[in-house]
Amino acid sequence: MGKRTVFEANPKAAHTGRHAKRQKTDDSYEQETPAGASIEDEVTSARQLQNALVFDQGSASAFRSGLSLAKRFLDAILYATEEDALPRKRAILREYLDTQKEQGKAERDTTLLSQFTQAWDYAAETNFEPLLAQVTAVLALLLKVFATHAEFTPYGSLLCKTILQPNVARRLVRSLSAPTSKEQVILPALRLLIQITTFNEGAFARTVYARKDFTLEPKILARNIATWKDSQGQTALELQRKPSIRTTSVRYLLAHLKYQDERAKIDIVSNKDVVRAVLDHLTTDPPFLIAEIFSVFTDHVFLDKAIPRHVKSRMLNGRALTHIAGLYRYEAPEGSIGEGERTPDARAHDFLSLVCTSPAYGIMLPTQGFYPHTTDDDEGDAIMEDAEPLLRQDWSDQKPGPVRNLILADFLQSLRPYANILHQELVTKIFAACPELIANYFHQKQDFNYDPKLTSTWIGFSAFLYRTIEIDVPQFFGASKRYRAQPPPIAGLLQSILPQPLTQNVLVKCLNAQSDLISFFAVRVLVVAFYKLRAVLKEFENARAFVKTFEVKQAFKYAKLWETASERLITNFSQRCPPMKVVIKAFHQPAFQKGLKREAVTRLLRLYYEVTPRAALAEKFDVSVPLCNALTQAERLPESAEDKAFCVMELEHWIQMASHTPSMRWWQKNKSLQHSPFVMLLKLLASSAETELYAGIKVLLAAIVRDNEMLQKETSPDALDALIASLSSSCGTSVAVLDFIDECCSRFIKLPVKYFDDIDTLCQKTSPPISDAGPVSPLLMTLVEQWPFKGGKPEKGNPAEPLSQWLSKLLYLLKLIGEDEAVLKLLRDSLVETADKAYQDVLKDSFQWKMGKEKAKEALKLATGADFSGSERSTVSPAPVDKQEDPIKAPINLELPPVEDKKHVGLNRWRKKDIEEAVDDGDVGELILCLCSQHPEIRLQAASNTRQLMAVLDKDQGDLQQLYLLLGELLESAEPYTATPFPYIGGVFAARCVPIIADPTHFLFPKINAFLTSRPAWSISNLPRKFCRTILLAPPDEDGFYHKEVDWFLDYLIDALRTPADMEIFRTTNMFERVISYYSSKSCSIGAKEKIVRLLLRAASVEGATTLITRCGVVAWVRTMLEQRDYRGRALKVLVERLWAGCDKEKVGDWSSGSLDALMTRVGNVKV
Amino acid sequence: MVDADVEDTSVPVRKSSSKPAASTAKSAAAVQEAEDFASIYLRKVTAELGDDLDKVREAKDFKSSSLPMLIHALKQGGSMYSAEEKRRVVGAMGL
Repeated sequence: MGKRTVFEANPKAAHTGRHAKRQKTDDSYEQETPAGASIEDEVTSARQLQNALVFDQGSASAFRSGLSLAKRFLDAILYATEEDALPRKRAILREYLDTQKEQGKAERDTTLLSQFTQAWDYAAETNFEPLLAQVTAVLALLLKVFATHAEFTPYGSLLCKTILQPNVARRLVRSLSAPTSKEQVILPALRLLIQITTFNEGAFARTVYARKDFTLEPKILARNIATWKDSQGQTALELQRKPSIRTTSVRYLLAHLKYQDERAKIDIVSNKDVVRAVLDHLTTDPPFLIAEIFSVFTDHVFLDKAIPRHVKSRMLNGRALTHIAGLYRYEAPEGSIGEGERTPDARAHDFLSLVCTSPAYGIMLPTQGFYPHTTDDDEGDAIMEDAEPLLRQDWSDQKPGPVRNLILADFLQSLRPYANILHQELVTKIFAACPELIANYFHQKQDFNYDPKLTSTWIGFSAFLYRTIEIDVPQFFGASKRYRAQPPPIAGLLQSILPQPLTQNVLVKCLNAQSDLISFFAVRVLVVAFYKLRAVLKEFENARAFVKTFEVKQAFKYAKLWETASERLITNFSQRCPPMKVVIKAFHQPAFQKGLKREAVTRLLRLYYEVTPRAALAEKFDVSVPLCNALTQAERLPESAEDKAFCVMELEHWIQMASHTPSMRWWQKNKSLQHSPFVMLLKLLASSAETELYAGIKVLLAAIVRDNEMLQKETSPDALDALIASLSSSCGTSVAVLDFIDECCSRFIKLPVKYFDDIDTLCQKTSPPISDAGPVSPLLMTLVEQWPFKGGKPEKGNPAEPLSQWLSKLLYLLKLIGEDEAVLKLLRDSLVETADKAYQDVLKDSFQWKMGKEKAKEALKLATGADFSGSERSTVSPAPVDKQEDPIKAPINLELPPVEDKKHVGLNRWRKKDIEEAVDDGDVGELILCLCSQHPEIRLQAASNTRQLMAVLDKDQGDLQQLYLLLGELLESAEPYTATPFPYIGGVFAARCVPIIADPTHFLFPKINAFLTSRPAWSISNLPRKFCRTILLAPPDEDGFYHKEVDWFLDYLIDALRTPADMEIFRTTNMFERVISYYSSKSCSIGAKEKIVRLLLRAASVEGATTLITRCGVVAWVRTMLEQRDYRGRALKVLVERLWAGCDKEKVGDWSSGSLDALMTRVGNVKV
Repeated sequence: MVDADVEDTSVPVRKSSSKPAASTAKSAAAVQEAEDFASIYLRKVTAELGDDLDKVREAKDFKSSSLPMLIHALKQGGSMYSAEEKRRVVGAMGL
């Protein structure tokens, strides 16, 4: 045991009188100057050093004085105050070192400072610890000095070599393993080793490692690292200046991790004791050391790809994570963290965020996102040939499988995401990386509950749930390369959208809570939940589209799986989230009457309509009243600009909701509103200077107008733009004008056909009649019709003056945007004609450029960016932009009937497969169609083969007994057709029924099944009529499937019409009349219209032209459609050409008394 | 012909030099906008929920360390708004 040190005797003295930057080490033996030793203050020559540093066993104290001198000299170099003196000092040192080289037998045996090693040996052998410590310390200092200047590198290398000779290095282990109370012995040895390891960029690190028994004995290292001291009460400066054994040992370890190669690093970090020693006591470390540990661990271990995963995995376990997470509570001593430096908790957070979120770092095990874990990674991604087991799966019952990441699951439970932002961030990052943990986490945390309480924990919890829901949906739901054939279990997915604590009950309570904050937060959580559901459904849709492209026979079944899962998810979500009526109730609460809260609750209502429309529409919520209120509110300008922006957002939400509501009355006035919602919106748009703010509203308004065809959209800018510009605030808008528009709109909507006819009548009035009118807005006819009631008779004060001004302005603008000038003139004339004298002049001058029209034109220019230069005061309007002028027009398919397969492979192909497969692949259908062959022998063979198929089915007694019934009835029905082919109307029907009866979930299954069981044979000629009744004219079996059923029926008709015989059946059953009248009905979808046109084209290809012209009046019908600018104009024109080419001209001529030629020319002249 | 060649070679060079700069500027503007929106949102939400926030401060479990979480929770709702909506709000403020 050494004497009491100077430092211990007088700690203050240790820090006084020295250079401030000097590292004050605790190796106090260095200070201990043996009595009588002469101290020279300054080294002025190498000789002086040489003399002072001669070791002699007899006079160790003299050597120690020399060491003190050397130390001061080296300190003077390291912490020089005078830069000028430095080169001289360095030269002295070099000169001295040159004298200390000792040549060995070979060049490589040269050693340096043999005096030191002798003293070291002596001290070790005689247990002379002060000398031992002092020599070690000066050597460490020397190396430190060598590292400062390149000219010392050779000396440094030589010294390292000398020390690392086994007979010298073995002395180190003794110092390192000294009792931990002997800091003064251990620390200099560690410092020396750090210097050697890091010297010259780790040039000797390998050799240090090779001598690991002396230098890096794991047990000793672990012991030293674990020797932590409570740093409480020490200032930041003290901690820096007087590093503890732990601090220095950790730095030594880090030096190795930094400079060793992978093999050595793996070996070092594989020692559990060492790593555990570092991580277990992290919370006792000063901030700078924590920073060094994480920096080296991250850069040199975890990010080092050469270190295998299992090694990293051994380093980190649950215990290690908990210790690291302990740093979240770390409170750094004052002044220990420099400005801009990251705090220990932030560093620990960065580290944990890295290692816990990727399988590469050992702690996290790879998972398959929302899919249950399978042992083989590829197994789940492979396309399964047999979807049957999947199809039978009951998704609602599927619970997420056992969690794979158990360590992380346990670790998560120890964090407090509701109280600490960093914890919250870490938890959500881990959730994002392992979605399997979301459900597990909340399942384990049963005591978490979201019952409304106005506390900071509730708020923190709410924020945590919000953030959890916000986590992005993983790509392919966690599958590795692409979407899998089957969707992930719904239960797990739902947990990520509405985590377990968010039950319907609790959410309802929150929405009804007294506290504004709680109800508002609940609304926000629900909004993000809807966003998440929308994102998930979009992914489902992508997946469905993707699996359809699989080249396996059951691709469509996989697609069906995704579709079903998507519906199931919506249903389950709707069961978990509060019913819409609760939100509506909250919406009426005083808390939600203004500001962000109002906007948020409206947003939520809108999401109900957009994401779960079925549930929203079932609620029968009258949107029109709040919409009107929002309109009134938007009109009254709120105080601040930002409030206004949120008000406009709210209005947009209402308009969106209204557009989702079929019963919305856009044109009806409401008690609380001056005008109808439509006109209010018009007014709002027209009077607002901030077009950008209302951009969303403009789009919605355009959509409403498009559906009603009241304003033409062919020109650019279109009639709606002109209407808005005519009402712009710069022109001044009177209430009378808005009232008038309101009235005209509501009249138009009630009977639009009347006004379409009025245009035709107007065009016919002129001589010659206008046959090819350009675009005109039909609403103008209503204006013309209603104008006489306003301005038709003289009245005092000319109250209709503003109206006449406006009409004049509107006509001017409509001409400007390119509506048909001739028609507009006729309209103006009608207006003038019916007007009172007082207004006639204004109306006459409609197309003149005066009376505020410049302002209206400017408004139009500003709103649309259109350029009308050159058209001012001109009578020629600019050519409208013809939007239909598509440079690449797809050719119209002439719908020629399919040709019969000459080889008739369908006769036998079904035999090569299982019955189910043959049904799915359409082989049974092909066999059935062979019954319609034009060759009698094929028909016979087909009938015989069908019987054989029935025999197989009979024997099988499987699920396909319905098919047996179908085939039986088919053969029965085909019986009478021996001399002539069985009509395709029957064959195609049977073939198309096959997949339906094989799939009980098919939307037509009930209807087809009912038909099959009604009678043993079919009346073929009645088939189309029968299904026209049960499909076109009857409600669907399942809600929402009407259009699908109609599509099926029309596809069947097109496919069945293949021969003149089929055409005859169509004629006798008046099928064309039926479908054409359906075409004009409101329930006919665009898809159905296209199919009807295709059916007519097909009829023209099977000798049906004459029938269509004479019996159905198709040419005149086409003309009407073209004049109404039917979207299918091109196909209709082609149809007429085909009919004309294919008809019996003589018969048609007689029928039309020769007028058809003129009609054909008129149809041909219509531009499409 | 020669001119065209010269023109051709110069085009990509110009493009490559100007494009990253433009996109960085754009994203910087977007970040700025989001920040502006976040502060507007926080200000409004704090004003609207003022009474309840006072009550939370009096709650038993409220400590000084709860404050960052409270602010974080209030701010969070800003993510409900699309970039376009944020832009409109910031635009309306004339920032």
